[in-house]
Amino acid sequence: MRRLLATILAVVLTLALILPGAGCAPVEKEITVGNKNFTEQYIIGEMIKQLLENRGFTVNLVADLSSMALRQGMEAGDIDICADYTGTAWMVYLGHVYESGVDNNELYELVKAEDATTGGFTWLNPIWNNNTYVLVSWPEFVDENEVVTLSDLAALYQEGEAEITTFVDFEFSTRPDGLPALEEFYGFKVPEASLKTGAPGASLLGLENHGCEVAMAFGTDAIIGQYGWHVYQDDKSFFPPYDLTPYVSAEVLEVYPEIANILNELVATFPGGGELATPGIVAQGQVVWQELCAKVDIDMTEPEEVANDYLVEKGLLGE
Amino acid sequence: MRRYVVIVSLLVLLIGLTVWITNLEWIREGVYKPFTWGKILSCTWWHLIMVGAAEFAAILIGVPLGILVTRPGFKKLTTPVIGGANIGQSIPSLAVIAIMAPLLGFGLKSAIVALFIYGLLPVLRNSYAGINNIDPAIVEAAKGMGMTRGQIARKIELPLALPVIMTGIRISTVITVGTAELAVLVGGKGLGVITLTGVFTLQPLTILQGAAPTAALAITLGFILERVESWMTSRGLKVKAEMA
Repeated sequence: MRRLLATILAVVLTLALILPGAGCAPVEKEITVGNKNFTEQYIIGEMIKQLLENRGFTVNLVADLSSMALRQGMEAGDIDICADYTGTAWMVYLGHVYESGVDNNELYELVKAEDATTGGFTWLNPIWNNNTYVLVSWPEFVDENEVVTLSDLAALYQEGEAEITTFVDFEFSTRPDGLPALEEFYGFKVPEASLKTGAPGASLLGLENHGCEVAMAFGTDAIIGQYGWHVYQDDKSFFPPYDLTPYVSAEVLEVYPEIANILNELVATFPGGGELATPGIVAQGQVVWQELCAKVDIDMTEPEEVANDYLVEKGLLGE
Repeated sequence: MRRYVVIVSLLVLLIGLTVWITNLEWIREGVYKPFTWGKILSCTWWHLIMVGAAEFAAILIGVPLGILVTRPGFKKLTTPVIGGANIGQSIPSLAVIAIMAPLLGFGLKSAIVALFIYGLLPVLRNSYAGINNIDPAIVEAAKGMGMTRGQIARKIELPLALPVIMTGIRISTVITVGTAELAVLVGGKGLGVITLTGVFTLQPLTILQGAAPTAALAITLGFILERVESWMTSRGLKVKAEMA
């Protein structure tokens, strides 16, 4: 009798193992979201994660990646969704040169078309926030040297009289849309001895402590406004637009086509979401993201909470 | 002789690798450019400066302190100093470096202080052990011969402890060369700039451009210090070592 019970138990257990959830539970919709290693990315990663979870997905968030790590993860199929920047995709992933004058809408269309064929990725609607690279300084330095634009700054470097310690992050120091290309475009050279490189965010710490004169930052970094730092205007239009855009591997989108609508819903809550960009819309988008980043960097709220508050406020999480 | 062959071929391999990558034409065409010679040399220079400054301070403080706690009047300090050094050694090097940024601010200074603290421990410990492990019978014999305390320290204890102390300095230097790779995270300079740029942009060849010279530097410094060690060891001790 006991042996019979044991046999039945074994059979039942084996069946439970080989038929996982057959008939009793719905198949889990598992998806992996990736984000990069700075504030805006922490927030958008959480937004995508929480929104998809709300719509019945099981989401695994791979956080804090560098641009190349994220892209390779997407290409290898380890990551299914992320939000990246049109300018980064165009110049770094697709290896093109940016031609001044190509606007936000045109660049988005170019990236969308090419990455669909080369990468097999579907770019969804963009959030127009142009989170571009910027160089910033304390206003005192700007007043003293009378530099307003990147051209002015380039001239100051070339004069070679002022000591201008310049602090950038590892990626920017070598990216094709980074410092070497910027130097070539504006015709200046930061002397080897006054160039500092560090981890993401380190340049901001450096400027905060007056450890450098010029620092690299992102357009939506809240700390710029907090300290009233001067942003050098890209007067010759070197940098491409960097609009934050969710993209998905086409294979994943085939299995879960609803993802496109869900994420486009999120995009639609931002200025001009789903429409064509205008300079006004882009400026509004930047302000919205500066405010979101300020909640994390200045008010010290967790990105998770900032994302949740935003989604609730916009009514995306339902009742 | 065979050891020389190993060291030289390792150095040739590492430096050759750096030369090869830096001269590669095809990656110059690519999206990410490799670092230039100027950058590699200036990073190597800064790496040496950081390690040199930290190691100099570590020797200046570690050796006297390690010897001091073996003296009869200071025996009470032995447990806190050596125990503290042992515990300190078990803290991950990244933590020692990272904690300096909030304490001392972001910059070269924090990096050097962190390297000094981490490099101090092997020097301190070996200086203590070098003196402490001397056979008491030898010291007794010296006393019996009528040597004063100062003479015993100068003529007996120091020469006997010197090889052990030098080993501590060598180990500390080699470790510091490696640890200094991380100094860039708190605003330092050095070859870590190249290695970490490679890590952040996921370029294996760039990572090697920073890592290979670092390894070559560690091997070279280790070798030089080993020669110094052997040169400073009294001949009598070497005879004993060969017979043993």
